[in-house]
Formats: sequence, structure tokens, C-alpha cells
Amino acid sequence: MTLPAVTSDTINIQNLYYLAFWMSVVVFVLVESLLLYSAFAFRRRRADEMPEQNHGNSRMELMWTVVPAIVVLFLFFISLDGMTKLTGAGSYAQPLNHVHPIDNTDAARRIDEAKQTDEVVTITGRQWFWQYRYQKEGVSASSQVNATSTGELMVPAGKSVRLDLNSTDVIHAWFVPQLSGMIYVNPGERSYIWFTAPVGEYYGQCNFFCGNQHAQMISKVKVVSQTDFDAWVKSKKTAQQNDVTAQQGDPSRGVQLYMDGAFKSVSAIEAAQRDTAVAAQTTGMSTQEVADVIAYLDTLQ
Amino acid sequence: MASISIPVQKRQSALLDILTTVDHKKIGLMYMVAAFVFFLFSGTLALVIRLQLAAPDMKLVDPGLYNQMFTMHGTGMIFLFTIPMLVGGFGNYMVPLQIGARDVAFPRINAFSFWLFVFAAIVMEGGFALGMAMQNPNLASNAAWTAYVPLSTRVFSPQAGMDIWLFGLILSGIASTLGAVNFVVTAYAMRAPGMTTWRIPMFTWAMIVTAVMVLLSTPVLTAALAMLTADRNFGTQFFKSSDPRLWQNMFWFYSHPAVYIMVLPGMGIISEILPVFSRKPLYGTKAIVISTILIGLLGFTTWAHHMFVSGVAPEIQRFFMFTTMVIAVPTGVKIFNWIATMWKGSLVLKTPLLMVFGFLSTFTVGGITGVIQGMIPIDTQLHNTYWVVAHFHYVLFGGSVFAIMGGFYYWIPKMLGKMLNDTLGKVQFVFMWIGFNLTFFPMHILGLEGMPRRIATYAAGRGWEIPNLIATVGAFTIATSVLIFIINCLTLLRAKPAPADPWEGNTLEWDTTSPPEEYNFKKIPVVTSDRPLWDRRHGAAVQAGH
Repeated sequence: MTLPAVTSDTINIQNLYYLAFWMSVVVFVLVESLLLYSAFAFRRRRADEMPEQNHGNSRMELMWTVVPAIVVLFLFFISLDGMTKLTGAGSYAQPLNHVHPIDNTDAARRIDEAKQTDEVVTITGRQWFWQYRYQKEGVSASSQVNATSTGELMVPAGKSVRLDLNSTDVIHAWFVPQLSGMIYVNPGERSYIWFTAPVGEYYGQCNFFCGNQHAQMISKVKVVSQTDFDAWVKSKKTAQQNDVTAQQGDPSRGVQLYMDGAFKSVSAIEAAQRDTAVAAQTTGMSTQEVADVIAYLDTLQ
Repeated sequence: MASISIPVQKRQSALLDILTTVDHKKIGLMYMVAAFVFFLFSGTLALVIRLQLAAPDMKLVDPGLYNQMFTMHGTGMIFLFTIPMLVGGFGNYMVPLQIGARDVAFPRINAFSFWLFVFAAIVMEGGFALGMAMQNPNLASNAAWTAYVPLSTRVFSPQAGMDIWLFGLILSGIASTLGAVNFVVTAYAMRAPGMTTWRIPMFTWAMIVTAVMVLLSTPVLTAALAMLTADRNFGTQFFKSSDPRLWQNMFWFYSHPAVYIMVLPGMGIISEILPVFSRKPLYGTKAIVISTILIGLLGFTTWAHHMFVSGVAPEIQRFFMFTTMVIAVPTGVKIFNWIATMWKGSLVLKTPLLMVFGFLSTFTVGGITGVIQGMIPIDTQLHNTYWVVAHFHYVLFGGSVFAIMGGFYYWIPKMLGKMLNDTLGKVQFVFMWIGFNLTFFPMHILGLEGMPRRIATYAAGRGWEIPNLIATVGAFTIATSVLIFIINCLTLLRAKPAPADPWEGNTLEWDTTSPPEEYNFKKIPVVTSDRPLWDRRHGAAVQAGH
């Protein structure tokens, strides 16, 4: 949170953090100075020194029970309040994770606002990259830098963006610190992130340990003007039409292969989702056929 | 004064004695030696981890091995060092002495529990060590100590090492549970005459609460590990078709109380050392005991704060945020009572007390950062980042290692009958305190800058270089302090013998020879106050002067 906050959520979180931080500094300085003072002031000066045998004082002890209790209760309530201000993240099981629309009409209103999105990107976490699919535009990209992708998630600036996150293998977590809080991306569930961000480049990476190349699962978000975004979508579309070798799976072909028993077990499917090439070797199918089956399975989710 | 006659035992060879002993003191020392070996082992792994992270894009170890290393660092430090050192080591040695008993309630179970622990440790570390030696990546777990499902299932972690690791942990869980039964029964049934509830020494109190926590929580982890083993090997579907948070709930139901299992005995040591080195009674003994019990109880109600961003319901989040905030209160009470114990006291600034200062100054930071992180909106930015690594090392290094070191300097004269060198101890403290803060303070900043934990490397240009480099320098400063401690232990070979009571202690362990005879006490002492030895030294007049 030392990075500049750029969305309403991160600004709210940062303000809450600064409040907690300065309160902590007071407690820290109090305790550490009492310790230092004791170490110097109360050193034994004579071997036969006999301090007063003070066994305790209920009033003092009550004081340092009640005062900290008030402090933590204060922090509890401002955190509750902070939760209702956040609309940035949620999951499928609890679509609006940090707000409770039933007993909080204000929060419900903000969720409805957040739901009115200009741009929806479906993001699939895989070991060890993110796949980005733009629903409206029909283009896709990936966090891996390769021939068809520069590795960035492009979104338009000043527009309400929703990320629909899911995972095909293990638990990942989406975290771009400057844009929102983090959320786990659980297999079999859908998590959401909402934000409206200004132009800029924002770095993040998978924030839940997901196996060998966890450190390489980078999520870089590039927020550009609507004009630049449209231009990017257009170039992307052209590139995808030209790219005949793209392993774009076809669900309609995949369904037939799947029904014919392309994969013998759930674990084989999971292995295929991790590595198309290896799955092609072990099953004797072409990589295109494996991609077709996976594309079909993705439609089921 | 009549004393009971002790049958003279036939002398045995040292090896046979180690293998067959049921004496709580020998078993305690054996736990300590074994746990210290695993401390060195897990600490060495930490040094490699720190070297790998010293600069961006380092390729000292490949990611697969790096993941194994932090998995074994975590598991080793928790299950093979901190818990066995405090519970098996200090607990075993000190509880019977402090309550005036001749041994624990079930000496044979005690020995069985130790050897099961050794076997478990060999299984767990053996897989990793063998894999290193044979350059076989399949003999160790690399799914982090949390081993979250589905990463730890056969699909994503097909290697045998995962099963070896699970088996080792299951065994160590059983050993730990057996040990806990022993402590609870010993402290309940074997106290010397006159040792009423409020006269039980503070370390023994801490061990009672700790043992109850072990009894209630460890079986849940052991069950989860057994379920995962069955899922991996026998085709069961415990975790396959369930909510992805089932494993997380079971894991943290043990692993959050485990934090208090590691910290409460340390707090017990602090409550023993402070009054002795301040020449004052512990301030508010009852408040300290009640806060220990409250921490034990509340410790079972906070586990889901590890899951705030995993998609649990908001109602549940609120409950766990509340309990997480509240548990700071009894902890704060302890800190202030400890400071009040020193207040207007007569402090002897020897190594045990310096280690107490190490504990208080660092654990406080861990407590504060815990509250900040418990605030859910903030947690959505800090969860799983290096801030968390900083926080729990301030709690577990600050709260356990400094206490363990204090316990060594305080009790080694009793246990081995030799005094550790105080000057070397002070030098060790300075290195350890500075090294600790150099290592872990910059990690707060790394977390605030969004550096996730458990990444094997990082790219340049994200502002993470300097804090990481400082942390690496700090880690080697800690290593130096540990080396000084080992040198200090070696000086024991030529050290002067320790008297029965070198520190003007208060509790019954100082009422016997150093080291104590096999039967502990010639005559079981009769206890008339919470400071029986103080009374004998100063008479009842000073005692009554409050």
C-alpha cells in the first residue's frame, strides 16, 4: 500500500490502513519506551537491594484491559464500515463478498452501480498463466508473452471493468495491488473483481502459491484510453483471423471427441488442461483435438 | 529428617540408557537436542532461501527445489523445532520439577512419544534429504506447509514425496497428542502437597493450557492429513467433490491454535524469568493465568481469518474479524503486566532477562501487525504477501525463539549443572536482535509493495531489491548469533559447575541439585505459597509486605 492507490477501493483501504498504522505507532512507541526506560531506570545497583513486593493492582489491570478493548472494538467497527464501502471483489459462492446487500441498502446500491459494467473480461487461471477473453469483442489474450500476446490485460480507462475469474486447475489469486483487493480464484467457482482505473500500467501477480512456476504467473494490467483500446481490439481481431495455427479449440468438435471417450478419467482431463502437448502424446490425439475437447469442457463451467 | 531409600541402579552403557530411559529429564534433553538439530537444518534452508531472494532473477536453486525448501523450512521449524522444543523439551523437563513430582504420569508413553517423534522427523526430513542427495525431485513435498487442496492432490502433486511428508506429519501429530495427554494428567494429578491452583508456576500453567490445545486441535489436522492420504492413494473423494475450503477449514482449525501452542509456553518462560530477574512477584498473577486460558479458548475461534479472501460468507468474515480483534486484549494484558513486573524492580541485566527484552520488544510488533491484518479491508491487500511473513516471524521468532533462548540461559544451569557464559550470551543477544529486525522488518515494506510470499524469484524494477537485500544480510546476522550460541554451549565442557539455585529462583526446580538426581527431590516438598523458595530465603515478612 506504499504504491499510489488509483481506484476508489484502494483509496478507501489505504486511508483505513493509515489510520490503523498511526494508532499502532502510538502503541508501539508506548510499549517500547516503557521497556527501554525500565531497562535503564530499574537496574540493580546494590546486591542487597529489595524492591517493594507489589503483587498487582486491580484498578491498573482493569485499565489496561478496558482501554485496549475499546481500541480494538473501534478498529473492528471502522473495518465493518470499510467493508461496506468496498465493491471490488467477490466470489461465486458469495457473489458480493465484502458487502451484505440484505441489511445494507447503501451497499446494495453501490453493488448495482458496480455491476453496470462497460467491459467484461473472463479470466481463466491456469498453471502458470492467465487467459483473458473479452466477451463483447470476441478476442482473447494471455499473460504469457508470445507471438500473439504481449502479456498484458488491456482495459479501457475510466470505464467500469469487471473481471470474471475462474480456474481450471488449482487455487490462484488475482491481485493487482493498485486496482483492488485480492480474491482467490478457486477451481469450480467464479470470483469477481470490479474497478474503474485511470490510464497507466499496473503490476500484479498470482498471490496464492500454485506450484512450480508460481513466481512467473504475472498479471500486468495496461489501462489505456477507449480509442487506444478499440484500436488494440481491432488489431487483435485481424491477428487472430490471420493466425491459422492458433490453438483455438472448437467446442462442437470437442463434444464428439469427448463423448467418444477421448479422456479416460477426470485426472486425465486435468492433466490435459495443464499441458496440451503432453496430453496429445499420451492420448494419441493431435494438439488441436485436445484443444477442442478442452474448449468443450470450458463451456460446461 | 527421613528420606525414602532409592534402589541403586546398575550402570548401563550411555547408548542403551538413551534408548531405554523413561526419565522425563533425559527425554526432555533428548527432545531439546533433536529439536535443535532440526532448528539448524530448517535455518540453513532459510539461508538458502534468503540467498536466492537477495537479488532479482537469481538462479541459485531452481523453482522446484526452492518450493521444497520453503515447504521443509516451515514444516521443520513448526513441527520439528518449536513445538517439540517447547512442549517436549522444556515442558518435559520442567513441569514435573516445578510441581514437585518425581516424573510424569506416564513415563513409558513419554518415551514412546519421543521415539515416535524422532521416527516422524526422519520420515519427513528423510524424503527431502534423500531427494537432495540423489537429485530426485520426487521424494519431497513442494506444496508449502499449508498443502492446500487441490495443489496437494495426486493430480497436481503426483510425487511420492507428498505421501512421505503426509505420513511423517501424521506420525508427529500422534506423538504430539500422546505427549499432551501426559502433561494434562501430570499437572492435574501429581502436584506436590500444598500446590493449589493459584500456586502452580506460570510455565506449568502455560503448559497445561498448551497441552489442552494440542489435545483439541492436533487430531483435526491428523484427520485431514489421513483424509488427504486416502484421497491420494485409496480412491476416496473427501476433498474431491467438496467445497474448496474444506481442507482450509480443517487445516487452520489446527494451525491457528498451533500459533498459540508455540507462543504460550514461551510466554510461560517469560513469566518465570521476569519476576526472578526483577526480584519482584509477577504483577497480577491471576490476570496472567486468566489471560493464558482466554488466549487458549479464543485461539480456537479465529482460524477463518486465514480465509478472508478465499470466498467465505460476509457474516462469517465479520465473526472471525471480531474474535481476531478480541484476542489482542488478553495478549495486551500480559504485555502490560510484564512491564509492571519490572516497574520499580531490581533488574539484573543478564542474558535471560535480555532475551525477555528481545521477546517483549519484537512480539509486541507481531501483535500490532496481527490486529492491522485482522481488519478485513486491509487484509485484502496484505493477505499472502511478505507482510504476513514479517508478521508471523515477529510472533514466532519474537515470541518463541527469544523465549527459547531465554529458557536455555535460565535453565541450562539447572539441566546440565554448568553455567553458560554470560558475556557470550549478551553478544549473542545483540546479534540475534539486530539480525532479526534486519531480516523481518523490511518484509513489512515488501508486503505493502505487493510482493507475494512463496515466489522463487522476482523481476527487477518493482522496488523489491533493497528490502530483500537487507533481509538477506539480516538472516546471516541471525546465523552468526546461533553460531555464538553453539560456541557458548561448547564452553560448557569447561564451565564452572552451577549451584542449585544460581538466580535466586522462586519455584521448586531450584529446590534440588543441579542437575537434579534421577528421583528429582530427596523429599517431596510441601508448598505454602506461589513462591516457596522466596519465602525460605526472605522469610514470610517480605512476602507479606504487599
